[in-house]
Amino acid sequence: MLRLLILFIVASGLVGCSSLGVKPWERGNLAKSSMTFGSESMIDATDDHVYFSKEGTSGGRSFGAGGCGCN
Amino acid sequence: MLNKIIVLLLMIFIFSSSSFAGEGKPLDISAYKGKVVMVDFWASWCVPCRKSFPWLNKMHTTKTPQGFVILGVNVDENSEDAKNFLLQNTSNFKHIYDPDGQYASYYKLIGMPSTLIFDRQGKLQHQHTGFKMNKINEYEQIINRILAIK
Repeated sequence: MLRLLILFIVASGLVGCSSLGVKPWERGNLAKSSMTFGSESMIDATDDHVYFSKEGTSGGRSFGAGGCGCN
Repeated sequence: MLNKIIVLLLMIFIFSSSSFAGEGKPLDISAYKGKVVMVDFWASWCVPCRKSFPWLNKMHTTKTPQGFVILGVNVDENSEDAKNFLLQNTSNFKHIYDPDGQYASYYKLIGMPSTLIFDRQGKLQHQHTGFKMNKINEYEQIINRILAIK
Protein backbone atom coordinates (compact mmCIF):
# COMPACT_ATOMS: atom_id res chain seq x y z
CA MET A 1 0.00 0.00 0.00
CA LEU A 2 2.84 2.34 0.95
CA ARG A 3 4.66 1.49 -2.27
CA LEU A 4 1.54 2.24 -4.23
CA LEU A 5 1.27 5.57 -2.47
CA ILE A 6 4.89 6.38 -3.29
CA LEU A 7 4.27 5.44 -6.92
CA PHE A 8 1.21 7.66 -6.92
CA ILE A 9 3.21 10.60 -5.58
CA VAL A 10 6.02 10.02 -8.07
CA ALA A 11 3.58 9.78 -10.98
CA SER A 12 1.69 12.90 -9.96
CA GLY A 13 5.00 14.72 -9.49
CA LEU A 14 6.13 13.75 -12.97
CA VAL A 15 3.01 15.02 -14.70
CA GLY A 16 2.05 17.77 -12.27
CA CYS A 17 3.48 20.47 -14.48
CA SER A 18 2.02 19.18 -17.72
CA SER A 19 -0.68 21.83 -17.99
CA LEU A 20 0.90 24.89 -16.44
CA GLY A 21 1.47 28.19 -18.19
CA VAL A 22 -0.54 30.95 -19.73
CA LYS A 23 -1.91 30.05 -23.13
CA PRO A 24 -1.44 32.55 -25.99
CA TRP A 25 -5.14 33.45 -25.91
CA GLU A 26 -5.05 34.09 -22.16
CA ARG A 27 -2.55 36.94 -22.30
CA GLY A 28 -5.13 39.70 -22.22
CA ASN A 29 -4.26 40.81 -18.69
CA LEU A 30 -0.52 40.45 -19.29
CA ALA A 31 -0.83 42.75 -22.30
CA LYS A 32 -2.21 45.61 -20.22
CA SER A 33 0.18 48.52 -19.86
CA SER A 34 -0.17 48.29 -16.07
CA MET A 35 1.55 44.90 -16.25
CA THR A 36 4.86 46.35 -17.38
CA PHE A 37 7.65 46.52 -14.81
CA GLY A 38 8.01 50.27 -14.95
CA SER A 39 5.41 52.70 -13.66
CA GLU A 40 5.50 55.10 -16.58
CA SER A 41 5.55 53.95 -20.17
CA MET A 42 7.30 57.10 -21.43
CA ILE A 43 10.16 56.65 -18.95
CA ASP A 44 10.40 52.96 -19.88
CA ALA A 45 10.60 53.85 -23.56
CA THR A 46 13.29 56.45 -22.86
CA ASP A 47 15.27 53.96 -20.78
CA ASP A 48 14.99 51.41 -23.56
CA HIS A 49 16.25 53.98 -26.05
CA VAL A 50 19.22 54.84 -23.81
CA TYR A 51 20.14 51.19 -23.36
CA PHE A 52 19.74 50.56 -27.08
CA SER A 53 21.90 53.57 -28.01
CA LYS A 54 24.62 53.11 -25.41
CA GLU A 55 24.82 49.36 -25.03
CA GLY A 56 23.20 47.96 -28.15
CA THR A 57 20.58 46.11 -26.12
CA SER A 58 16.87 45.98 -26.77
CA GLY A 59 13.84 44.00 -25.68
CA GLY A 60 13.50 41.79 -22.67
CA ARG A 61 11.29 44.14 -20.71
CA SER A 62 7.93 42.38 -21.01
CA PHE A 63 5.21 41.36 -23.43
CA GLY A 64 3.18 44.47 -22.61
CA ALA A 65 0.84 45.76 -25.28
CA GLY A 66 0.83 42.84 -27.62
CA GLY A 67 1.25 39.48 -26.01
CA CYS A 68 1.40 38.01 -29.45
CA GLY A 69 4.72 36.28 -29.06
CA CYS A 70 5.18 36.42 -32.80
CA ASN A 71 6.80 39.79 -33.40
CA MET B 1 9.76 -4.76 -10.53
CA LEU B 2 8.10 -4.98 -13.93
CA ASN B 3 4.70 -4.62 -12.26
CA LYS B 4 5.84 -1.43 -10.54
CA ILE B 5 7.05 0.04 -13.81
CA ILE B 6 3.78 -0.87 -15.51
CA VAL B 7 1.76 0.72 -12.69
CA LEU B 8 3.95 3.84 -12.82
CA LEU B 9 3.60 4.16 -16.58
CA LEU B 10 -0.14 3.59 -16.30
CA MET B 11 -0.43 6.35 -13.71
CA ILE B 12 1.60 8.75 -15.83
CA PHE B 13 -0.59 7.96 -18.80
CA ILE B 14 -3.81 8.46 -16.81
CA PHE B 15 -2.62 11.72 -15.25
CA SER B 16 -1.26 13.17 -18.46
CA SER B 17 -4.28 12.17 -20.51
CA SER B 18 -6.63 13.62 -17.90
CA SER B 19 -4.79 16.93 -18.13
CA PHE B 20 -5.35 16.96 -21.87
CA ALA B 21 -8.84 15.46 -21.77
CA GLY B 22 -11.59 17.67 -23.07
CA GLU B 23 -9.14 20.16 -24.53
CA GLY B 24 -11.44 22.28 -26.59
CA LYS B 25 -13.76 21.57 -29.43
CA PRO B 26 -13.45 21.95 -33.20
CA LEU B 27 -15.14 24.72 -35.12
CA ASP B 28 -18.34 23.80 -36.88
CA ILE B 29 -17.87 25.16 -40.39
CA SER B 30 -20.39 22.85 -42.01
CA ALA B 31 -22.54 25.89 -42.86
CA TYR B 32 -19.77 26.99 -45.24
CA LYS B 33 -19.45 23.73 -47.15
CA GLY B 34 -18.18 24.35 -50.68
CA LYS B 35 -16.38 27.52 -49.61
CA VAL B 36 -12.83 28.20 -48.52
CA VAL B 37 -12.98 29.35 -44.91
CA MET B 38 -10.23 31.40 -43.34
CA VAL B 39 -10.53 31.43 -39.56
CA ASP B 40 -8.80 34.32 -37.83
CA PHE B 41 -8.24 34.00 -34.10
CA TRP B 42 -7.89 37.49 -32.65
CA ALA B 43 -8.09 39.49 -29.44
CA SER B 44 -8.70 43.17 -28.77
CA TRP B 45 -5.41 43.46 -26.83
CA CYS B 46 -3.33 41.98 -29.64
CA VAL B 47 -1.64 44.68 -31.70
CA PRO B 48 -0.88 42.61 -34.84
CA CYS B 49 -4.52 41.44 -34.84
CA ARG B 50 -5.64 45.07 -35.03
CA LYS B 51 -3.21 45.71 -37.87
CA SER B 52 -4.53 42.72 -39.80
CA PHE B 53 -8.14 43.92 -39.92
CA PRO B 54 -7.89 46.23 -42.97
CA TRP B 55 -6.20 43.46 -44.96
CA LEU B 56 -8.74 40.88 -43.80
CA ASN B 57 -11.56 43.21 -44.86
CA LYS B 58 -9.95 43.58 -48.26
CA MET B 59 -9.51 39.83 -48.72
CA HIS B 60 -13.07 39.18 -47.66
CA THR B 61 -14.44 41.74 -50.10
CA THR B 62 -12.32 40.84 -53.10
CA LYS B 63 -12.43 37.07 -52.78
CA THR B 64 -16.06 36.51 -51.72
CA PRO B 65 -17.14 35.96 -55.38
CA GLN B 66 -14.67 33.04 -55.58
CA GLY B 67 -16.29 31.33 -52.62
CA PHE B 68 -14.11 32.68 -49.84
CA VAL B 69 -15.26 33.44 -46.31
CA ILE B 70 -13.45 34.85 -43.29
CA LEU B 71 -14.66 33.90 -39.85
CA GLY B 72 -13.25 35.84 -36.91
CA VAL B 73 -12.91 34.01 -33.62
CA ASN B 74 -12.44 36.39 -30.73
CA VAL B 75 -10.67 35.00 -27.67
CA ASP B 76 -11.08 37.94 -25.28
CA GLU B 77 -12.02 36.70 -21.83
CA ASN B 78 -14.52 39.51 -21.69
CA SER B 79 -16.43 39.58 -24.98
CA GLU B 80 -17.48 43.17 -24.26
CA ASP B 81 -13.87 44.23 -24.97
CA ALA B 82 -14.20 42.66 -28.40
CA LYS B 83 -17.53 44.35 -29.08
CA ASN B 84 -16.08 47.74 -28.14
CA PHE B 85 -13.09 47.01 -30.36
CA LEU B 86 -15.40 46.19 -33.28
CA LEU B 87 -17.23 49.47 -32.79
CA GLN B 88 -13.95 51.30 -33.39
CA ASN B 89 -12.47 48.95 -36.00
CA THR B 90 -14.89 48.02 -38.72
CA SER B 91 -14.89 44.52 -40.09
CA ASN B 92 -17.07 43.16 -42.85
CA PHE B 93 -16.86 39.51 -41.84
CA LYS B 94 -18.61 37.48 -39.19
CA HIS B 95 -17.25 36.97 -35.69
CA ILE B 96 -17.88 34.36 -33.06
CA TYR B 97 -16.74 34.52 -29.46
CA ASP B 98 -14.55 32.02 -27.67
CA PRO B 99 -13.98 33.48 -24.17
CA ASP B 100 -13.04 30.10 -22.69
CA GLY B 101 -10.54 29.33 -25.44
CA GLN B 102 -12.36 26.13 -26.41
CA TYR B 103 -11.61 26.46 -30.12
CA ALA B 104 -8.17 27.96 -29.47
CA SER B 105 -7.25 24.95 -27.31
CA TYR B 106 -8.45 22.46 -29.87
CA TYR B 107 -6.23 23.92 -32.59
CA LYS B 108 -3.29 24.29 -30.14
CA LEU B 109 -2.56 27.90 -31.06
CA ILE B 110 0.93 29.09 -30.26
CA GLY B 111 0.38 32.84 -30.64
CA MET B 112 -2.02 35.57 -31.59
CA PRO B 113 -3.26 36.18 -34.20
CA SER B 114 -3.54 32.68 -35.61
CA THR B 115 -4.96 31.84 -38.99
CA LEU B 116 -6.43 28.56 -40.18
CA ILE B 117 -7.55 27.97 -43.74
CA PHE B 118 -9.98 25.19 -44.57
CA ASP B 119 -10.56 24.06 -48.15
CA ARG B 120 -13.96 23.62 -49.80
CA GLN B 121 -14.27 20.14 -48.30
CA GLY B 122 -13.73 21.48 -44.79
CA LYS B 123 -10.23 20.04 -44.51
CA LEU B 124 -7.60 22.12 -42.72
CA GLN B 125 -5.03 23.06 -45.37
CA HIS B 126 -2.96 25.74 -43.73
CA GLN B 127 -2.18 27.22 -40.33
CA HIS B 128 0.09 30.09 -39.40
CA THR B 129 0.71 32.43 -36.49
CA GLY B 130 1.20 36.17 -36.54
CA PHE B 131 0.50 38.87 -39.07
CA LYS B 132 3.20 40.88 -40.83
CA MET B 133 2.52 43.48 -43.48
CA ASN B 134 5.58 42.39 -45.47
CA LYS B 135 4.07 38.92 -45.81
CA ILE B 136 0.63 39.82 -47.12
CA ASN B 137 1.50 38.71 -50.66
CA GLU B 138 2.57 35.35 -49.29
CA TYR B 139 -0.70 35.05 -47.33
CA GLU B 140 -2.69 35.89 -50.44
CA GLN B 141 -0.84 33.30 -52.50
CA ILE B 142 -1.73 30.66 -49.93
CA ILE B 143 -5.40 31.68 -50.11
CA ASN B 144 -5.30 31.55 -53.92
CA ARG B 145 -3.70 28.11 -53.85
CA ILE B 146 -6.41 26.77 -51.56
CA LEU B 147 -9.16 28.48 -53.59
CA ALA B 148 -7.87 26.58 -56.63
CA ILE B 149 -8.46 23.23 -54.90
CA LYS B 150 -11.86 21.94 -55.99
